[in-house]
Amino acid sequence: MNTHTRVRTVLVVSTVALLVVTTAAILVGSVGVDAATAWRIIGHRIVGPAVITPDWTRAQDLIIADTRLPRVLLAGCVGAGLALVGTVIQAVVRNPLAGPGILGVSAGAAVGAVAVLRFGLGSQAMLLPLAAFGGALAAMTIVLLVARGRGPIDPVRLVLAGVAVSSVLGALTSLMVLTSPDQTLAGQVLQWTLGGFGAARWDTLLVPAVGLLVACAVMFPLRRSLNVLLTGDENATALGVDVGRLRIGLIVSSTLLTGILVSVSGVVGFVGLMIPHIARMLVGSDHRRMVPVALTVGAAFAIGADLVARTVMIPQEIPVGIVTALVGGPYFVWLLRRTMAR
Amino acid sequence: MLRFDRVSVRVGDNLLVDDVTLDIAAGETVALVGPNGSGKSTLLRTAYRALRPAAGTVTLDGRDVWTTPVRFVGRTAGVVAQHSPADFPLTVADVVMLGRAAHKGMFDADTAADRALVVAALESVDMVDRAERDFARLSGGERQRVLVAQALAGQPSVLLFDEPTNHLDLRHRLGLMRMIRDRGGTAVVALHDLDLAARFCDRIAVLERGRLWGVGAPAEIVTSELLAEVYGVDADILPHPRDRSPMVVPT
Repeated sequence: MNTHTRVRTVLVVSTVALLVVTTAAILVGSVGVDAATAWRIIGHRIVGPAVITPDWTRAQDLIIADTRLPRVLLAGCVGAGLALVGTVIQAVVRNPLAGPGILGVSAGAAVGAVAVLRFGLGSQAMLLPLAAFGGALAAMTIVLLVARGRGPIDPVRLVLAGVAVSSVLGALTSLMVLTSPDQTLAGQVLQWTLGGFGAARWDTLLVPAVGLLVACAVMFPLRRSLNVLLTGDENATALGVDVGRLRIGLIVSSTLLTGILVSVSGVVGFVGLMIPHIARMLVGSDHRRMVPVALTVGAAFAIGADLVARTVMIPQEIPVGIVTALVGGPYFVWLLRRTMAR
Repeated sequence: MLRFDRVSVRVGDNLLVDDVTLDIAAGETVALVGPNGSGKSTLLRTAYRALRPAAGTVTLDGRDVWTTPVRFVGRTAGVVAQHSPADFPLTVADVVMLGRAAHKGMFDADTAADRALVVAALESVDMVDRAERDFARLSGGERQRVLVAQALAGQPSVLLFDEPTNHLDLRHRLGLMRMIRDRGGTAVVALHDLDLAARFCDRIAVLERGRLWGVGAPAEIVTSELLAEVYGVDADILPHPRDRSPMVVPT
């Protein structure tokens, strides 16, 4: 099978998987609806009652169109977004172990979010995402300042700076939690840091969806430059890529997107690390081929993980980060071993 | 075509290149030789913007490389750097295609013309039969040849090659040097092998501890004095039996 056919097959299969898992996630839950009705409810919202006549209850309508659909879309955005960020960061620091969290972004977001929970600042629903986003941005700024030297930022320095800043911020988070008079804070913080899409509503979906679209639009023209970056800073410069500016630009835009995603969903682990690797195993490392695959597989994986998270222990819902790690970790190990055996 | 004008490079407290002036004419092949640490790579790196000179200017095609866009240098110079990461998981053809990057707009796809240039570049380094192999799984010499092909794929007017014969077997070493000479374009090649430099290059520039020791035709430069003074090696110089180029025979 030549590369072209293979890429197309993988894209078709992953898109079908995405649609199947999306449908499943919309159908499964306490209120049962069949697939046809579910899609008609959604279609009805889009094209209006003139075309599709409602024959369902108002409860079904609310649950499908206002609860499950935004939740599925949020999970899809976050999964695709984290996969995109992971892909970019792995190329930028030329390190396969890198993920969205490597530059201290998640730790920064956690400090912001936990500060809001700890000090009970105003209306949490609005403030928490903003504080998490601010924390992510602040952490990135510190990491970039620490890693800055002469010439383009060195990938190794960048990773080391990220690790150092993350541990300091992690300590601050722990300190805030442990010194809190509120005994339930630790639970809330743990819940938040493991991620979840339970807060999804149409109005909370807007920012991450726009963020993802903008990031894709920014990334698309840079796919070739990302490939060039793989060959090392010196070679990339010789091939006409301004490595310094490209690296800073990619780090800042990845951080902005990660900050947005983390602020609405908490830290959903493993997606950003694992999905780029799966995409590479499927279609190779050329970013022009793997980015679309990473986006669809990332979305499908996050939606599937969320479906498991909210159904496996009914009526309790477990944080989606637990599912992504429990499912993703062993799968990743299996893939790695299979690839090595070849 | 390529001019180093009073170039000095300082890294930390060390003066790695000290006031070097060297003019390379269009169509000329110049070998850059000298002992380890004499500044060959450092001087070359200033020409493709990997290292900024502390003083002096480098002009490529009449333009200061440090004030023109990186893209201009990417289009004009074909570079083989000395150290490149070897572990990137692309195919050989993909790696060579990256050599076209400076010629492509952000939304351009690879064209048939690009693919033809990639094949031609692979042919010139004898790697066309391995185009679909993983770059990371090649031997050191094969990788080196692929990186040469990458530099050629951009159809550069100047080649800047830093020890391109590293890891190459005898046949490919000769093949590469012949290709550089017969290509007819401008080339600056850092080399350790004085015999190769003498046989295939129009002029030889000798660096010693960051300074230009001398520059001239092979017969003027490859002498017992050079070997004694610069390399600290006692050697006789014999003419090559076929083309009379000077050959080093250490005593």
